Amino acid sequence: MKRYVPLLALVLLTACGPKQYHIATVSATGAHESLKFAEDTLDSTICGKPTAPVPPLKCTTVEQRRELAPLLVKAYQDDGTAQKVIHDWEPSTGARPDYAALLVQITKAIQTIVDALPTDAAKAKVTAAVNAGGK
Amino acid sequence: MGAISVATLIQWFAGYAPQIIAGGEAAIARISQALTDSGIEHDRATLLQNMQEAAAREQRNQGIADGTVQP
Repeated sequence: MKRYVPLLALVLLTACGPKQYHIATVSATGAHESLKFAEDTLDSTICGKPTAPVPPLKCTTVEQRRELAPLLVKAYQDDGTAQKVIHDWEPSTGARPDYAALLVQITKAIQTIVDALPTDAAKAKVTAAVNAGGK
Repeated sequence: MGAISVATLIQWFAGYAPQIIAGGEAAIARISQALTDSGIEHDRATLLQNMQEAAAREQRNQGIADGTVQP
């Protein structure tokens, strides 16, 4: 299924009006849900939580999590702005919403969070999955 | 949408999104619903919910950054 999704996206992008609106919604929702999941995954590794990696594996310290909080504040600001730009878009006007740069910023934030995951196994798993995507 | 938007969408669909959300059943369910549902008003409701969630998480992370919220 995954390999067909880019084609689906391209097909839908060639459409106009409501379909363009819908694909923009799906794209923004994908970014939003991915950011949430990356944060939730990070939080699940915080030392002392039942879900945290157990020694000898590393966990995420509260201080490390706190250092990432400003990045997440900015990412959720970008996320909210992207959602609003599309929400307020009126396709019938012919104008195009400008939210691509916001999604790129969210993508970078997610990558930073993935890089901060405490175990090599978790990083390798996500990296391999990302590299495999789209092939 | 210009070339950047197309590239970004493909990146999301082909790369990051399907992998990072792997295992996130709630996330998959929401995206699946967004993929199948139609109608601008339904899309706008989804976007509004996303905005509200983003605002709540932004506030929580601001609290974590300030030290007023325990992560």
